[in-house]
Amino acid sequence: MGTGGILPHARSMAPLLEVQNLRVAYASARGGLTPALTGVNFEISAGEIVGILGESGSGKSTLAVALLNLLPPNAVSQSGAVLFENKDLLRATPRELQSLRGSRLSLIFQEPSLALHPTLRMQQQVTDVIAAHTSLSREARREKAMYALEKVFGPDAPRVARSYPHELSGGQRQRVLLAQALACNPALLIADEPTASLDPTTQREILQLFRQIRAQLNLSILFITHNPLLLDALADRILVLYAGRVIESGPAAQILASPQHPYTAALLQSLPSASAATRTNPARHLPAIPGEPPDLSQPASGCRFEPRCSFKMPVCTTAEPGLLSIGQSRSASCFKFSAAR
Amino acid sequence: MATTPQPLLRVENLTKRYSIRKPFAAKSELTALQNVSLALPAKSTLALVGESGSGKSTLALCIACLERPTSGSIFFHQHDLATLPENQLRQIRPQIQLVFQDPARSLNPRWSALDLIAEPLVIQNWLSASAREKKAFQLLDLVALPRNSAHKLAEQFSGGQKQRLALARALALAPQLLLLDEALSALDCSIQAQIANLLLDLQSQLGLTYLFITHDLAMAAYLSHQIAVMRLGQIVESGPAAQLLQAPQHEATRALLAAAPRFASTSPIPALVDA
Repeated sequence: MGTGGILPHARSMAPLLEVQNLRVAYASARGGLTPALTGVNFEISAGEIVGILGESGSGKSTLAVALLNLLPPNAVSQSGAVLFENKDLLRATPRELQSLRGSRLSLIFQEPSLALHPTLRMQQQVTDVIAAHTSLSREARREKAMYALEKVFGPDAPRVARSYPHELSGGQRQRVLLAQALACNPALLIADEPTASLDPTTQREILQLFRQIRAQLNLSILFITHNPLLLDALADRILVLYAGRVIESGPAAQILASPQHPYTAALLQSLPSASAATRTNPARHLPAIPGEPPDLSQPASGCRFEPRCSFKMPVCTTAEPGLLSIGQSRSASCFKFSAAR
Repeated sequence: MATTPQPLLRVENLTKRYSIRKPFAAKSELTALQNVSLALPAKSTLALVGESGSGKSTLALCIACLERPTSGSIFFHQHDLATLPENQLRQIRPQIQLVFQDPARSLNPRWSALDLIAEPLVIQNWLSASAREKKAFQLLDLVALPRNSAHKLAEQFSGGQKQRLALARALALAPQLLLLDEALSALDCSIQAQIANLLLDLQSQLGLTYLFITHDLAMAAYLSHQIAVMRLGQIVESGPAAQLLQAPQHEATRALLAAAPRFASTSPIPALVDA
């Protein structure tokens, strides 16, 4: 493998990343605070793929950048802890953060064409990441960059290395981003909707690649998406975010097969399925969730999902349910579970 | 043939080539559409599916008369849009409207809902100012946006509401044919279902005809009577939605079906366990 090798890091028992009671609020235009994340707790072990499922405004992208301490200046309030390799990232110095970002902790965004420099060749763009984080020789950097490109492109790597972004397809560009992210042996990869702009065939290839890379490098992945279908056969565990809170969490297969929170259940039921339904005449309606996610700048007293919920009870408007354990390694925040006890 | 109704839209042998000029290279041609033919009966939905770059959007642009085809015909009613002179096209255009993927980009964020909806009427010089406003309010009702949001700016609406706004704007000129170019793809899953239901309602209420461009095969199956599969500028397979999905003939269709994200267990999702 030589100096350019990406070595799998050792598996350890302690969680790789531990998020404790993370809260983030943005300053709103009218004065006031808009909470984006409220008391988020979770951990990721080495080699684990955790899916974050949430729609626009659920706080999923805020979570991605908060973990890297990259929140925009209008995120005025931030509390809790993000422990990564025994360091609290929320309290780390800019220098410490700089050395972690892009090397031990990598982030991949949704739109690969916006993340790449339009007039630099791919090899250069991967080498630059390595140069920023290591003091390797020019030759060693090149070798390491090619190694990372081979990981994601296989035999096609030399051709891609010489290409400019406009010569590549959307899927290929996303692979280059992945090569950049992997170039410095990260322990954790955060991917924010990495396949949203791709067509299903390419999407499937990229998901396949994520699985391969996890298996080869024992890398942990936080995969953020609004589409529950993408998490099937990818994620080990799923956290469902709604209006800035984790409302359900558990093993991926269990959540997708038997969702317990009314939101998760309704979301999964609203998806059309190619195998089951084709258009009938007159067409049947999809079981859509009525309404829209709440406006977080308006404080609410009850459950955040109550206005759209079909299982609401009187208590739902007055108090906010906490996350309750509902069986082995599963939890959900809904009063129907506390009522059952 | 006598018993089948005349299709609203009939595309015959449509070909569209773009010439590409690269520095230091000879001029070359790219064939975006090659001999594409399809027929779309009135009040029905045809889904056009295929990978990125297969020519779906080029076809929509040709039908919307925003691109002139290289050869072939596009019959809409009695007119061939491919050869119709510009002054006559202007009279046909209101009847064919486009809805794009991302309403955040297709709507001017600093315009009010009312102005956005009324603009097509202003351009066509239809109705008086007060009648236009009345019509705009009716269109808000039609897409289930509250009337009190009429003076809000486009940027103040959520993604799903923006797409409702885009639909209201497209419907302002009472079109017969809507070209929906990935109109659901930028929306969240829970909102996609709402807008899909709205599309179904509008179709039965107004007798609309849809050309629904998507790479979401499940949604195509759900909304469409017919599906046409495109690859490399050609329609490789088309037919009634159910038939095409149950017995796909072409390799491209099978590949799309295999790639469509779905749950490993194809069994329906069990109903919520009531506590």
